[in-house]
Amino acid sequence: MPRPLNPLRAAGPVLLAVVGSLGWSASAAAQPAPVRTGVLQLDERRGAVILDTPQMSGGAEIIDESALRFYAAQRQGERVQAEIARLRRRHPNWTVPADLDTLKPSPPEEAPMWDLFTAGRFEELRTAISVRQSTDPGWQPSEDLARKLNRGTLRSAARAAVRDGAWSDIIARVKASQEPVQNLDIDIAWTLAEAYARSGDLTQASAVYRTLLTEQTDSGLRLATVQKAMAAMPIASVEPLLAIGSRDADGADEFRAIRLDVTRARMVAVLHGGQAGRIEPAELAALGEQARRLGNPAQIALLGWYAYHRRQFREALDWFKLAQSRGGDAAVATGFALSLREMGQTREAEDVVFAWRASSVTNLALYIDIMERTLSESSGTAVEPERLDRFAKVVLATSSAEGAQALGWYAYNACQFDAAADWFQRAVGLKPRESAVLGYALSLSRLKRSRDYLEVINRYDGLFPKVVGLVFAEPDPQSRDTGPCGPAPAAAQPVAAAPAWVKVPKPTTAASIRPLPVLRGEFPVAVAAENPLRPGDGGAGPTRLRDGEYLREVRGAPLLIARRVVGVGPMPYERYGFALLPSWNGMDRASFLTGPPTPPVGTLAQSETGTLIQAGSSRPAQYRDGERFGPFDTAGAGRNEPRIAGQDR
Amino acid sequence: MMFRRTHALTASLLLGLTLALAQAQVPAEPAAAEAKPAAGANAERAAGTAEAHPLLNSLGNARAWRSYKARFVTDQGRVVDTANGRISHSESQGYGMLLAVAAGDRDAFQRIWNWTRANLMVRDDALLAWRWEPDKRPAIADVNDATDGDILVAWALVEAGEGWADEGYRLAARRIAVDIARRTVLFRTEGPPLLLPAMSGFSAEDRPDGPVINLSYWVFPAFPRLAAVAPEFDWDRLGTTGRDLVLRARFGQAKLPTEWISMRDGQPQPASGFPPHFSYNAVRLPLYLAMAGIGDRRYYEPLLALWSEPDPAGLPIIDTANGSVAGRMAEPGYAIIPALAACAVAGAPLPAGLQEPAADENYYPATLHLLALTAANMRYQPCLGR
Repeated sequence: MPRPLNPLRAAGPVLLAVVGSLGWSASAAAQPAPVRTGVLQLDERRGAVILDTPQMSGGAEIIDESALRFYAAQRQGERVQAEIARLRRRHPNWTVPADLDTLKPSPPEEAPMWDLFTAGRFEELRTAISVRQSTDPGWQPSEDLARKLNRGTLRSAARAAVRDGAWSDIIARVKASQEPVQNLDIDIAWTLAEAYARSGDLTQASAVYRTLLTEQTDSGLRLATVQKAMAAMPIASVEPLLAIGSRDADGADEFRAIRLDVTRARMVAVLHGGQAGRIEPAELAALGEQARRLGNPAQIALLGWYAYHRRQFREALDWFKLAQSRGGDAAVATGFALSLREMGQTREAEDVVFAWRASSVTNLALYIDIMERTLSESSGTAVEPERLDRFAKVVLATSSAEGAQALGWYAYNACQFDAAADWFQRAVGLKPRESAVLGYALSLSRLKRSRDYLEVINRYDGLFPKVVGLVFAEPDPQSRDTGPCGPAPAAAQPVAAAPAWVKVPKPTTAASIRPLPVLRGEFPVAVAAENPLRPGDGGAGPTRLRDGEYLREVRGAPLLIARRVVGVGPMPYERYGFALLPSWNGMDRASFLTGPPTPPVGTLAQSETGTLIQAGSSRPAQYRDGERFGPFDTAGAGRNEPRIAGQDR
Repeated sequence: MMFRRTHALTASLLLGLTLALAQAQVPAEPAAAEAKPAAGANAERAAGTAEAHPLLNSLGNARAWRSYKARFVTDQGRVVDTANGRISHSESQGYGMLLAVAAGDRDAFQRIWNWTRANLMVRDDALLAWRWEPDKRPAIADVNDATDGDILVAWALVEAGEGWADEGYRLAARRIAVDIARRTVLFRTEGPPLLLPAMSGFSAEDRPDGPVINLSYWVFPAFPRLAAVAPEFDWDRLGTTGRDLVLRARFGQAKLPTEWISMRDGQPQPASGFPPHFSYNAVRLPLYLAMAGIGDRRYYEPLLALWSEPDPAGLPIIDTANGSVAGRMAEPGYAIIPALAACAVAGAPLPAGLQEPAADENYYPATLHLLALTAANMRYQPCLGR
């Protein structure tokens, strides 16, 4: 990946440079590079892209004509010629300004001031002016010097503002200068527009760009203005500026040289849910052709994401495959795996993200999600031991609660209750959500570890109705002796008929648990409120405690009666008339909830509730980010756009 | 809104879309190529370390951390809110994890994180139940989350994951960050995205003046770090919105934000049903701004005015309705916040008396004090005379 350039940090003058990765059409290449004094120089051979660099090296630059103009105004013909020769040597494409003969000479006493000006020593120049004015109160600098000083000051202020991101400063300075936009040097005007854009005033920014496009006739500067606008504003704000572009006799758009840049910007905007102009099939095809020719994996991947976004998964898969073959990175692997999964090739997707798990946590999460889904769906089909093994290793190495829970259910459904209890114990230490605690309790029950079983159930009294429900469940004759593992405890999780021969690897449990003695009966039993389960040493290594290193806690006696928890529904024993204590904020009724609360309207999760996996299925009820993962998840619109045939190629 | 595309492009860069176009549009903060991740360079890591201000070992005061640990952290890893019935919450756990990273104390970090996940992660999603009370059955008091706690824990995990090269921390950070972005941020509404204080209770459906926000839940230094593990979300835009609200949510003569702010119709107003106070929550705003390296005076102006004269009685709690002093944050540690604000804006040196935290303060002022020292040590060393 080329080093991203950072225009806001750079202090140097605005430069147009070239990025080698973009090819250009012959027509663009045939155009002469527009050259103007005091401004810019475009190399149109290949795609021009606005960059800033701190050094005045390469590309084009702003040519300082102030000395020339000073000598010309002073009618110092020899020096004028020498300066013209110097400027030509330094800037071969530079042309002599036409207005040298008409410049008015400035008064001779200004000569040292002009020297200060040409040296860029504006502060000293200002001091010199005020010194002069203190001895000669009526004296004013010539109009030319005053204007030049004003602009020179503006330019250095603009550079400083760009460097520091002090956008409000540059806006205030230009306002104070009272120069209309069309009178500003164009690079200052660009900075002003960018300042508006960066501080959020897109209307003002657009107005500046629009003025420049209206006033400016030089085609190179017009194109550069549009590029500047694209760098500073969302494409939606640039679209009206693009529409200003004229058409030549053949009907060709004057901005056609950057049409692929525009298309790319529109695609990126669409991927982020933003507004953008229509992406013409021809443009998309041209972009695809270019991407294929140049073989830049990032550009190819953009086409992949765009196809994925439009749910054209076959095409997305092709693009990502191509990007991978051209050296694509971990993000390309993500797109590749997601497309494979959408095409039903989950096994291949699993291998891709497994291979790429170390280089991106997104791929690691996606691998665990894919395996979680695979294990929960694998009723009747064996998952090869080596796949289980490598998954178990990843789950242990990353302390993944989701992975531990998935292995727990898989083992449970394969009637391997020992392994199930171990995995669930880990899961409960890592993330004691209701489904993990339920699995743990069921496994303990199967293993007849009744003390551990009762401790867990009592610990989550008041919080997890399904877990507490295990000791209050009515015996269900239907559920007896019907499962693949023999008699099941009441209220068991939906059991898939997993083949018993699959040996689920067991985690090495490092945590030592000292369960409290059961005091009386089954329920309620007084247990410590804190969850003592730990996933092991977590890589930090056991440390011997020094006396007084940590706060010593004095615990009160464990309680028997649960209180209400805000956000939790009724407990199963309430139907027998048992009551709970009020909640911490005084609420004494169960929260009115039939299931977990749903995210508010306007959240990404809520906007996809239509595709939420329903609770109660054997699949995980909650979202996994991998389930809904999109690389551009803030995208608002367009997910369900009708497919437009043939647009991709 | 304003930077939507520019910032969104960060994500596209992270995803490897090295568009020529995008290259010209990398936003101001990250200089991804200069990042120095702890282990194995990749794009996701690079974004998080963009500012090159890793939290690890940035506290620079081992004695203060030892004292903090002995007073507020149990050997099980529970961080105790000593002024508040010795309860714990996701916020205290998150602060404890951050400070453990800042102190370079991996053992303490592991203990606090172990306790946090084993006791607060009882929800079906990856967010944390916000309130835990000892000697109660069950100890969880409320399964709703608090997004400041969620963000603090996720941020600490990113810092720990990078500082100690631990993929498990990074994975856990990603899970939390994804659910914060997906379940508690209004990304799909008109106008700029809003961070809700919790998944339940503050939205437009839940309250007539909803959505209601708490600006001090916008943990500004965390957002670029969360982007490192969940690059598909526009954290930058969320942060920009928050900073913009810091400028807009200025109520009454004192022009101060209230703790709870109604964003009905997009206009910040003091939320109904809460005292219209600038108080213990909002006092964290300058801390987070300074930790994020934001030194622009505009963000701090009303606070600098409020705190222009040191007051031995403590920082005033201001009733924004009439500008009166409604109370005092009396413990002396709070004085670090005005000092840090003056340091961030004007480079004012931190008074020597504030550079060593007192050993008898409660959890909250002690925490803010250590975080402020961390911020100063991380970004404003001249204010510490270094």
